[in-house]
Amino acid sequence: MKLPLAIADGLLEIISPHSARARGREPQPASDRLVWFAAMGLMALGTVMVLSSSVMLADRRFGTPGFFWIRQMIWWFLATVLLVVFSRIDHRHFRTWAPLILILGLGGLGVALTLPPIKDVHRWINLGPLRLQPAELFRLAFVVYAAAFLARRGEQIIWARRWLLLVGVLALGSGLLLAMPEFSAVLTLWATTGFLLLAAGVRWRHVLPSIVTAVVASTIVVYGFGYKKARVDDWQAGLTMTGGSYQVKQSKLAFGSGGLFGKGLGEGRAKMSYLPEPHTDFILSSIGEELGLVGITAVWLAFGLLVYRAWRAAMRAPDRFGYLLCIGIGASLLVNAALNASVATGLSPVTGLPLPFVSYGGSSLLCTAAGWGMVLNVSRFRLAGR
Amino acid sequence: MYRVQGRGGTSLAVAFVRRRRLLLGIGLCVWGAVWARALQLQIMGSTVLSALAEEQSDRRVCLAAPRGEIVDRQGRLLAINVAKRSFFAYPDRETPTDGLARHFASVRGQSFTGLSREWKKRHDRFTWMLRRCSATTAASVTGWQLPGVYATWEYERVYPTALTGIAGPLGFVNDSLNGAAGLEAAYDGLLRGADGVGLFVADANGHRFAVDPVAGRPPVPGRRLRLTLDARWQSILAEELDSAVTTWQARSGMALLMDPHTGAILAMVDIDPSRPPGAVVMKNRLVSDVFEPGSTFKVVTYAGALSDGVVYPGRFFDGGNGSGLFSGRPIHDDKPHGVITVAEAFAVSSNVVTGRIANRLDLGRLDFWVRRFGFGDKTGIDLPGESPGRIAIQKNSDVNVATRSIGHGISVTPMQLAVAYAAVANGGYRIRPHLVAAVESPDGTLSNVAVQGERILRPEVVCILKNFMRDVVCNGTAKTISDSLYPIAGKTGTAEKPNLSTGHYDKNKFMASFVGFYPADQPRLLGLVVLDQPEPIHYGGITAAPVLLNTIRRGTASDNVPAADMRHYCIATDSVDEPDVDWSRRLVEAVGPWLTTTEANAASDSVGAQANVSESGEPSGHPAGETGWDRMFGRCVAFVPDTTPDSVRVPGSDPQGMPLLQSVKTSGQQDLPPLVLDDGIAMTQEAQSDSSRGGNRACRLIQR
Repeated sequence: MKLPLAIADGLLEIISPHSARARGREPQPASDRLVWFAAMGLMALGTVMVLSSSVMLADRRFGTPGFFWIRQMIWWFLATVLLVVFSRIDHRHFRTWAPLILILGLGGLGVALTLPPIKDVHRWINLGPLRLQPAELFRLAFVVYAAAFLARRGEQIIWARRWLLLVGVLALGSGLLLAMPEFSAVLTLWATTGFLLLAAGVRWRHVLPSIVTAVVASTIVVYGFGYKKARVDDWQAGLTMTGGSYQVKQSKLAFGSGGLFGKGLGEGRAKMSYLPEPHTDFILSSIGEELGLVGITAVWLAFGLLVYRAWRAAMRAPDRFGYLLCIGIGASLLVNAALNASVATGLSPVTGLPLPFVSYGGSSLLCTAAGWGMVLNVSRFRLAGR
Repeated sequence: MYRVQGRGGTSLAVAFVRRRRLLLGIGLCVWGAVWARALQLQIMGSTVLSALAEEQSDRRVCLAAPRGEIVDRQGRLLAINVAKRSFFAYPDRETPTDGLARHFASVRGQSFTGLSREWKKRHDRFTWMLRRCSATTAASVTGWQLPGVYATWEYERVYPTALTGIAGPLGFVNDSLNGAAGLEAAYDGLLRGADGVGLFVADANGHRFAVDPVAGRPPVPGRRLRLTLDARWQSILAEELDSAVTTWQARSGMALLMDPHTGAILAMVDIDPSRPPGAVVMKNRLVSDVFEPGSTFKVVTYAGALSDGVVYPGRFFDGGNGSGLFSGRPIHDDKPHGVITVAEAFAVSSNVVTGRIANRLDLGRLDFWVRRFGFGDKTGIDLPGESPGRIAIQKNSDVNVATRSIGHGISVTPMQLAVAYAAVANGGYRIRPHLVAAVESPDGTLSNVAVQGERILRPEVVCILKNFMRDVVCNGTAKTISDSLYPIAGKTGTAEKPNLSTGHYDKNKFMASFVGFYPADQPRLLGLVVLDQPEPIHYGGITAAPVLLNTIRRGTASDNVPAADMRHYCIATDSVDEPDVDWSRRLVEAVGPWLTTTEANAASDSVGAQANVSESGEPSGHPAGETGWDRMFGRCVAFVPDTTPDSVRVPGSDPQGMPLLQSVKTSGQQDLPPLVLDDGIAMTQEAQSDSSRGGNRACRLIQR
């Protein structure tokens, strides 16, 4: 399949579902249009909000008010292309490519770690004007790999030696991510894996002990040894209405001053250097301030819709891999968005994590779009009688 | 390609229906928890959080209100504001105070370390960096582009009219533009206005986003003061006084011009050659410093004695050839005088005779008059730091009465003295001197300063005193300023200065003074001149009096006002502060109620003349030449009874002693209109019109 044709077909299909037939091509089942519109809507809102919240920052830092916005527009365009392309690629191919994709993701991590640090961390790979964030790619790669792995095991997931492979990959990836450090990526990775395992039918007696162990262990580590105790104290302070660390406090001030309808686009003050990352990790705060609870609810409904439709597509998936892929990508989005929002509203400790589809950043946007392109492809399949 | 492999898929979905519900449940919980948190923050916490957000990003800056201008009566600017750049900072924890200190140390002329230490100690957020700096400094500071440093406008007080002595009444302001002295202090509340509050939004680093202060409260400019001062008269008076101070090598000089009817002060000069130029004038000596007035004070004694009826103008007293004993203590005259009338004693300023006259009053009665003229009490002028003067409590002995009657053993302010003379000039009213004619707010409304006047002298006494004072200029101690074109009436004073270290009077240090009004018959202008230690001549009539004459000459000449029209020329009044003057009441009546039968007869006998007044007003039995009435009344003129019974009181019990009053009363002409004569010539326009309008006959007494 030729790429330009695929893009054109995909776009045409969105605009007019029957045009493909008119052009004499073999008709294709339509992908889930709700997913498409929700994703495009979120990206559009993201572009607007990136513009609103980054103008002052960009002006001060680079002297170009539209520095971030223009890049985000380009990313949006590329993401749209990716969405279309991946929705046209039969997802079952990825099952076979899964190990290759995983190696690509791990390789990205490795490259980032071996390169000299940027701002004392190894999170990025610098390609001239571009900065790739291999963690984003790895997250997608791992979901694909895990889906493929679990699909192969069939309906019975048992504790066998092969498990060690998945656990090993997870441990390796987590280790590399922690070395970067990308703590939040590890967190979302594990949470997504949890969802995947649940969906794959893992037995409760396998899951519960590990969850209990993890909770007990982390409690002992935090309270018994005082490891990152300050972080936890900050977190607990952040749960109150006005307390918390500087970032959390500023973020909550932004939410609070937004009120129900917000201050209006561009009227926010949090972006005036009060919020450290108003266009990336804390873009939800900017939305909350400028568009109010109404805007937040809209964004949240869009995320909810995406996850629901992805899991709905999973239920109708033609194969076990498609099912797990949709579950995993939906769960990844849910976990990402929820963690980002929790940080912004002070519900969880501060970790750096972009809001999928909305935050500024090419790696995040492109990887998310690629993943949701796969979901769109899965959604093309309809099970008879359901 | 996209065919569905039905078998496997169906079984998969069915098998995991329960897991699917679990997944959806977990997802919904997470989703809902986050949304609920947003709800909590944005609805329940909105008030608190938005207030906090505004608190951290709102910056308040004081928007200085321009201080009210001060203008003279013609609207000439005496005190204005010049807007200048000021810089302030909101240092927060991220602002490097060292950097600020390094930049500002040079322009503030302070050391870097001192400034840095000082600013580190400041925990409040607002700090002035530089206030009211020059344009070039402002440009360079703006060029530094320091974060957290903002510019605003403040005002600087400038007194553009460099009039000599103007600093005295105007005063000055301190660094915070609050009035510190003079009118600036007295009217500080009105002049100051209300500073506004500017509100702008700043980012976390203190960078200012809004260019202009938004919202907030605009400043309310201060009220504008329109003074009674006239810059032209002020400069003329200052020049004349300055030249007198130079000519007579005086230590200092003070002078004052005011409208005797309203108390509006037209000029106020305080010259002290020992004061370095540009020095801050902290006080206005005309109201805050006291001196022993000497002979100028005698007007109080004469007014009291005449009012109480213990003497009359033509009564003779023995001048004692220049000295007299009071309680065994001698009092001397400058020149020896023999037997002279009260009128002559005033004209030549005889201490002995004045002492004798005062002794016809006791000390209590004299002090009553002293206080009635306002001495020992603040005049109520609208200037801060006024002194009430001091009237020492003394034993009622002849010498104490005598010394007080000639203006010693009492300390008064020049302003009090001027107010006392104003009562003579305006027909007997004690006025409150003031410097502010109107307070103007930006919307143009005027608030007049109320003028209060209490009658302290009967019109007939006023008439006599006016003529006494005219005689001082024509024939007495102030002959130097006798000028038919400029009829001034006044009184001189040449007082020995008390030496505070020895407790005695210095025999060769004098305070020369002159208080007078012009024109003599219808005064529109009252002037006071005081010279401290003029050398080599000490006399007030020679040193101080010419200052007033020259000032009046120059002041009226440049206005092209003939002296004869002076009475219609409002030098010192304008529509704003002109009180409702009842001219008819001001007209002088004098009958001579002081004449008891015995005294009248004695007087008549002594001069061998018989005075009589007919109902028609024609004098009868009036001998030609310098005897008779001339001796009796001196140069006094006559009068007519007031229609109000109070104003003409008849002291003594015998109505036979008052021929004119008697004749008027018996003829039933109680509502005879007043008419004033002077020097035998029919008098005021007002009186004539009154009489013609009313159809009443005038009663004239012509002397000479």
